[in-house]
Amino acid sequence: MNTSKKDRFLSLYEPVYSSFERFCRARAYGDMDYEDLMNETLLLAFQKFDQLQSKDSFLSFLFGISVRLLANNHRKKKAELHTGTALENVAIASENTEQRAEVHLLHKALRCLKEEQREALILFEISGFPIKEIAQIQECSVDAVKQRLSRGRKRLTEILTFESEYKLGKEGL
Amino acid sequence: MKNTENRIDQLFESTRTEAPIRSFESSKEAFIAGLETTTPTGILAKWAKISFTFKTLIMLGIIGATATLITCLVPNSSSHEKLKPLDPTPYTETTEVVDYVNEVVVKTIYFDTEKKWAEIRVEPTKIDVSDSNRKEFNKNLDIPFPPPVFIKTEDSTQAYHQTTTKCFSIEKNSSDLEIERIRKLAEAAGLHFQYKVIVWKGKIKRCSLHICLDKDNEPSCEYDINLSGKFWKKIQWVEDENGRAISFEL
Repeated sequence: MNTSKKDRFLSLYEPVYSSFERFCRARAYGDMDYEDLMNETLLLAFQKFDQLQSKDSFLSFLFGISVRLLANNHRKKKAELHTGTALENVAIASENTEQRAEVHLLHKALRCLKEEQREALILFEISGFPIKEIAQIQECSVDAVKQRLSRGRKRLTEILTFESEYKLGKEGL
Repeated sequence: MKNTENRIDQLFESTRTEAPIRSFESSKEAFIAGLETTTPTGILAKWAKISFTFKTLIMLGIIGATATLITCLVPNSSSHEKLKPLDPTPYTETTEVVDYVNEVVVKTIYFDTEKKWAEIRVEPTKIDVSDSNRKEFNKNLDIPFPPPVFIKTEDSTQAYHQTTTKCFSIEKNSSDLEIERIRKLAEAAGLHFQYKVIVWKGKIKRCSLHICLDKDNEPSCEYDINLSGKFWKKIQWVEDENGRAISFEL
């Protein structure tokens, strides 16, 4: 019975795993190892698998668990232990391709945002979730999500503008 | 600014389309490996073990504390011999039956432990008990009855005396004749009963009472009271088998 449950779980996980990994990488950047986040989320999701109401909402179910895990992790304030390794791993992973460098840059910029803004932006822009579903995951109102998205993007613009100007200044020197 | 907006969109697009670093297979393997460690032989068993140890510790602590308390509180046999044996109290496990028949309240107390009983009779000798007075009297049935008197006989067994409680009430509408009757009954029971009344149109306006009981080998018990206005006062005393007052209450 446990095997069939595992099979059912994995059959639902397979189509969404890449999206889930992208979310975990973006969201856990600088906080904890994304692989740890993925594994912990999957194990918890498996334990609570019976509570899943619809197969279509499996990814949302995984994200909800990840968000709560990260919130707990944030409370524990163990970030300093993970920061070094996480950044290092990403740097190694992204040393060859331009795309990965861009992803790394975005993750780094997102890291400067507030937790809620970062999460809302990742869910909306990277995972492609509708605002209503983000509100459910973040346990807040739709208006709050809209505000987070707007402010997050504005802040992201400021960060990237500052970075490009800084780079230009450096090159000029 | 527009360039930056485009740049952000481009970065998001790159992130969206980026291929996963880990393959599904490796992710699956990590999940299965994690699952095996969280089975009862893994983390759960570990937690169960910790919780068992914690529970055991609490239980051991409680048992230890209880044992210490018992050791401290219960005297050992040698010290018990030195203690003076306590007098058996007749007030444990009693059954009380109160009857109110023909204006006489009989309260019988059964002492289950000794298979003995004592009967207390409360006789309200209020003259002309009207309905309202009866109601007033019934209200006062809650007043605690005096305890039965018991003496120790030579062989140290307890014998109970049958006592009688006499209960009267004086109020604004009482007449001086009623008080005089109470005085005579009190004197007959060995109580010193003195009173002064000011009567106006056949009713008591003011009343002062002095009751005194001389006790053997004990200081005498005295009571003074002045009554006026809309008063209602209960006077009662307890008589022994010989009709002698042994205590009184106002």
